Amino acid sequence: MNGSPDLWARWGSFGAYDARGMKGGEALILELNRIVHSSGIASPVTSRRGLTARLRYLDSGAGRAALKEQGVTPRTIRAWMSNKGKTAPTSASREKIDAAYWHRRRDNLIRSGWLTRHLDNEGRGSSMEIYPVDTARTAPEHVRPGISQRTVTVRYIWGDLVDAWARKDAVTVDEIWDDVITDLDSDYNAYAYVSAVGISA
Amino acid sequence: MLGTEEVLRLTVAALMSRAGERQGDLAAAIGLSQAQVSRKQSGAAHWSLDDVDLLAAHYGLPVLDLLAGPTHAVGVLHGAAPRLPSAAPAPTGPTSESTPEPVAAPVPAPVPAPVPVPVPVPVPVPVPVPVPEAVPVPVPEDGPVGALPAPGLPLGPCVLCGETAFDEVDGFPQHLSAEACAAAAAASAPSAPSPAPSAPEPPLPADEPGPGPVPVPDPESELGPKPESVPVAPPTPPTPPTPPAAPATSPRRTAPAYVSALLVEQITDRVREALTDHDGDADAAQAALIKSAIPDVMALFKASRASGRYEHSDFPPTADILRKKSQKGADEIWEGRPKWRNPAVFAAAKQGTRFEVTALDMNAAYLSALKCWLPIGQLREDTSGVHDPKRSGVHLITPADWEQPDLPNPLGNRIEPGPLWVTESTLRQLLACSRNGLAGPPVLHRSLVSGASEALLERLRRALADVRRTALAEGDTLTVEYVKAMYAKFVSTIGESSANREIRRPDWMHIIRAKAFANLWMKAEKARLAGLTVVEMSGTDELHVIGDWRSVFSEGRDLHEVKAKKVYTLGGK
Repeated sequence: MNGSPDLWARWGSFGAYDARGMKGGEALILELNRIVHSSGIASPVTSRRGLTARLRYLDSGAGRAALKEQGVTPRTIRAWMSNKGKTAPTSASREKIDAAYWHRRRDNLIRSGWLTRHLDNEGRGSSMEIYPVDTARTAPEHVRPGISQRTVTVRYIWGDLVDAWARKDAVTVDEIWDDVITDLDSDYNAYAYVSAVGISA
Repeated sequence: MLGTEEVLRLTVAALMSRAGERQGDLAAAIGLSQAQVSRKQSGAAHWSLDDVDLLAAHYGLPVLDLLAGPTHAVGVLHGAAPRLPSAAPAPTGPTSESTPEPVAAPVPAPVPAPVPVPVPVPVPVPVPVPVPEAVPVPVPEDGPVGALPAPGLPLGPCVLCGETAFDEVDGFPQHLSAEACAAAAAASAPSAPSPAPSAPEPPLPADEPGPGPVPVPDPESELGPKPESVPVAPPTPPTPPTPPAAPATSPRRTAPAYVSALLVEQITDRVREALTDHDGDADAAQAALIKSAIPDVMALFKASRASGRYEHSDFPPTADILRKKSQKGADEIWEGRPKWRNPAVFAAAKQGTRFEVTALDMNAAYLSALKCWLPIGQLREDTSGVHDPKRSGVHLITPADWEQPDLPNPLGNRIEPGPLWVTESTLRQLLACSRNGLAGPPVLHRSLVSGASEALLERLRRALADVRRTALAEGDTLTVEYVKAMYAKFVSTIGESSANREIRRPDWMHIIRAKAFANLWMKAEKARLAGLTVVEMSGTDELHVIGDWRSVFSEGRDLHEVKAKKVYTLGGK
């Protein structure tokens, strides 16, 4: 990874003058989570349709393991799976089923490579909107002028990014963020912290 | 060496000064504005061949003399120089025959004599044509090597009439007007043996396959029609054919003005493509088109913003109030959907009074509503409590009480009191009501706003509206349904919908919807002002009125018109 080693240090202590935002890498992680959650079963788990769909999705060895991770006993799992349309789990159990579903789905999107393919877009990349830190509360003399919202088309990083995100490796995601903003211009350091990132995917 | 157009500019300037005219006078005479004349004279715009005809008519000069340079033109104007033997008929002006004096120019020409070229030369004069004048050698044999790619090259058979064309549109060789096609066909029929010298345009060598570049030495030399260069060589008509761009009869093409032809083409092409894909099966094509409506309208939207002034944000961080609380839940924005019945009318109907009510239907309400104030960038908080008309977004307000019994509240059927989040469209409507004295002003607590423009979707809207209008006139249901799917799905999926991943602007979605409701409310107010009784207002597009509504609204299916859905009787025994 290229970029500058002291990207974060150059900001001094972030937030000292009431700038609101987060590290660009954190915003990337939030955005990837959003993308994952923007697909999948649309019906809520509180509806019978949504519940049945989730149970069907989890009806596999890995799915049962995911349910077990949520603290559901094997006996309950067996009861749910044997008559999917008829059981009426409590709302706490539905939460667990929903959590297990999203864990499984996230893993599957990573494992199948769909997420990477989707973002890489056959090499064309995805457009990314970068929103600078919110300086509404900062005293005017500390506001850096002329930092505007930027739009860049980002290519080539998506495989690495999804890998790092899947490993929950925040350091590598930060490095990848550094890589992304180096393409902006000489002022890229201003985007080390951002208020949000939007990915067109 | 001056180009023909440059010579023309000098000529026009000379003629103007001789005639004591100013640019405004000339402009009025030839149907332009002074600014256009100024631009054409300064070189910022071109004199077209149509203009040349008009100029010639205005000064009473044959076109060839007008193009022969300032000295010659002024000389001819004053009778001090002989006219060129023009084959072309004198322009269809007020004075076409003898050299008259249309303008008061008592000053004799100071330099009458030096006509640049001897008179009987067949080639138009000031154009530096290297062809020896006495030897009218066919020009194509002159030296095809290294010839300039003049605009007069035969590009291939015209896609419209099959004759050789010298222009292309979007890569297809074709004639630019029906007259040009007709002329080409006429020219090819007798295989151009002796083109009548009085023909308005030189005949196109349509029987020739268009061998290669016609070596026109100066691309501008084609400005001058060369009717007399033909007589010697029948096999190869030496005339570099004038492109039929400006036949003397062709009307001035109107500017595309408001609707982008590119966008319109993009829509119609898509319809044609779908029809071809399904072998003309309209139902299958319609299903396919409706299925692809979302990506299509997004592509259209992007194309419509290509030259836009503002770069809008597609994925701004969503404020909490704009976030759906659950998959099927709603966010906190109150759009003001109307659902109102006139209590007085319904009470009277219950007592037995009969009313003839007409249910009016607003055409393409969401398409009209695309014209609304939309925030361009990320919404930012503003607690100043003052509405800035240059910004748009969502606002937390406490509305004033609504006291009008015969008009619905622009807020819709909101019953619970207290502050609520409304969109820009609703707020502007409430502010307008307070300006008109219909209600008090709303109290503005908090705003999430960004710089706004009313034109973000305007090109898209105009293109869709234009295609819709044309399709309705032609009875093309397929296109009407396609357009309807595009604008409806655009509005419903630009929020947090997983069906449209190319944009996420829930604020836009709410503002557009609220604008549709506000438009309906404005129609209700208009009806009431005109003396109609508003009976019911509901949905996005339904307005029930009592009275002669045709005197208030025009009937039809266009965006500014309304159509009567049904007439029914209310009350009575």
